[in-house]
Amino acid sequence: MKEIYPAVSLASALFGRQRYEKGTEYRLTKHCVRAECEDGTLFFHTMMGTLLLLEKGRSLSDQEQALVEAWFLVPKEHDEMKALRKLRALACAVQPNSRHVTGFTILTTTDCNARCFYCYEAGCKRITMSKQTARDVGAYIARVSGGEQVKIHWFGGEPLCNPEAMDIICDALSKAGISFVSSVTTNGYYLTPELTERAMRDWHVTGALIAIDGTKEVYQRTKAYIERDETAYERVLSNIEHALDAGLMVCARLNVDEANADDLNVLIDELAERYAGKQGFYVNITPLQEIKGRIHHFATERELAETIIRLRRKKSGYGIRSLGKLERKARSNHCMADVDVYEVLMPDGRICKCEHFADEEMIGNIYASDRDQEKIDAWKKQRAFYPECTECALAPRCVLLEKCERVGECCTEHVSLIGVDELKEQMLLAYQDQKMERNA
Amino acid sequence: MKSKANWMFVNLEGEYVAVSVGESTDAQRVLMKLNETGKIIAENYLNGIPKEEIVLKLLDEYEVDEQTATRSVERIVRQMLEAGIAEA
Repeated sequence: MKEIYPAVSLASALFGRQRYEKGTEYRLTKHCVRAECEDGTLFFHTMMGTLLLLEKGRSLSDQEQALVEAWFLVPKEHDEMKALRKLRALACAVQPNSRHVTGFTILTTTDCNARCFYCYEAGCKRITMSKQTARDVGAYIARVSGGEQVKIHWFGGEPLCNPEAMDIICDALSKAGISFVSSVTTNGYYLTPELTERAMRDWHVTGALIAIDGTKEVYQRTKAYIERDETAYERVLSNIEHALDAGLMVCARLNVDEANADDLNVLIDELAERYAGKQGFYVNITPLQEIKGRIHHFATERELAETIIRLRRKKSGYGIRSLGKLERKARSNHCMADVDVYEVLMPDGRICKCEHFADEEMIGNIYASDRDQEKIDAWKKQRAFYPECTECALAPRCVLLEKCERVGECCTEHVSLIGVDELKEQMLLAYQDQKMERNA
Repeated sequence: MKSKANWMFVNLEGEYVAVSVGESTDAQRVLMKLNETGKIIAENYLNGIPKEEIVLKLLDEYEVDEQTATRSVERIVRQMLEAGIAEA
């Protein structure tokens, strides 16, 4: 067997190598995902982070000792979930206590020039960050980041509806000597070549996440831009092309429901024709989240999963990757909501932990140092795994939060099917990338 | 007893891990692993209790012979010195 990546350091430090005992009855760990590749079978341990290759022609039984030592084979009675709990407890304990906040999702506005039917912010009050608030946000970030590098994600609404706020905030950070990088979620309509240049130069934007809901007719109907621009689809695709040529990373997010699945099949062809081979272009394919009963559901979850997997395979066939590399560390947090180093800043200066906000979830504001610790702690409260999770290979990659509005979706069939497929893609790419590096 | 690094015990469902709380990589943070008895030995040693007295405490507390208790104490102390949790 060939070790492509060893166990991650914390897991390795905690568990070490498992002692092989001849005569013991071993079974494959539940925390293992296998993927076939040209050179054999890749084995990934989702808790330990180890990636191994079982070369073609070799069998599992030949490699029993190596697989035992790497925790891929475990005794029948081995409790994977207990091991995972221990690793997570240790990961939490060794996390450095930072008094600084260094990650920010900043909503420059909740206004938007699109009217997507699936938007979870539909019907919310439209607030745009004023120049003064932007100055105050810049000062706030400079104060709480403690001189460490800051990561900003621009969000909204459509954040590019208020580029002045971004100018002011970034100018304040630059003047304060704060190092920062940023990314943006945008519909891409305003991401003209001129704005791309400004974004990269002044806002240090390195990447953009752009939702594309279908080919022209579907896209125009879905987005329903207030500009009523019949050329919006072509404009956005052209903006993406310029952005890629300028060196920006662009991830096209394709949101799938039953109504647009067939059209996305055609869209992938169009995107491939335009961007395949361009550096920095990625496509993520995800199910549309259930918002206010507007989603056209597939008859079964399995159908949804199979559709998404089919679309993913299609884009992979063009050499287009999904954004997101093989994450080898088992998770100890869910997202920004359950870590202290991240905050979501609203257009009016209020602060919350989750961008899927509700007014009652605000924890404070940039003008006062007091925070609603009860709400902050509530976001960190993890719910127990579901019974099905004990059998799921993805469990080490899942942290379920009590407060997360999406927790009911977890451990559904489509999530695990899609999750495993995504992981297999990442395993293959990680192996191929390493192979290329070695041959270079 | 002087410690080389700031560290703490983390209870992992009955097993204990001594972790460094200083600035270091994940792997360097895990200093040593201990069971319940090992943790008692470590804590006593760090509180300045001589090894011989720790042995006597183990003999009082557990059904174990003197040789085993002495070996356990020596082993844990050696691991602590190697891990930098304690200085000689």
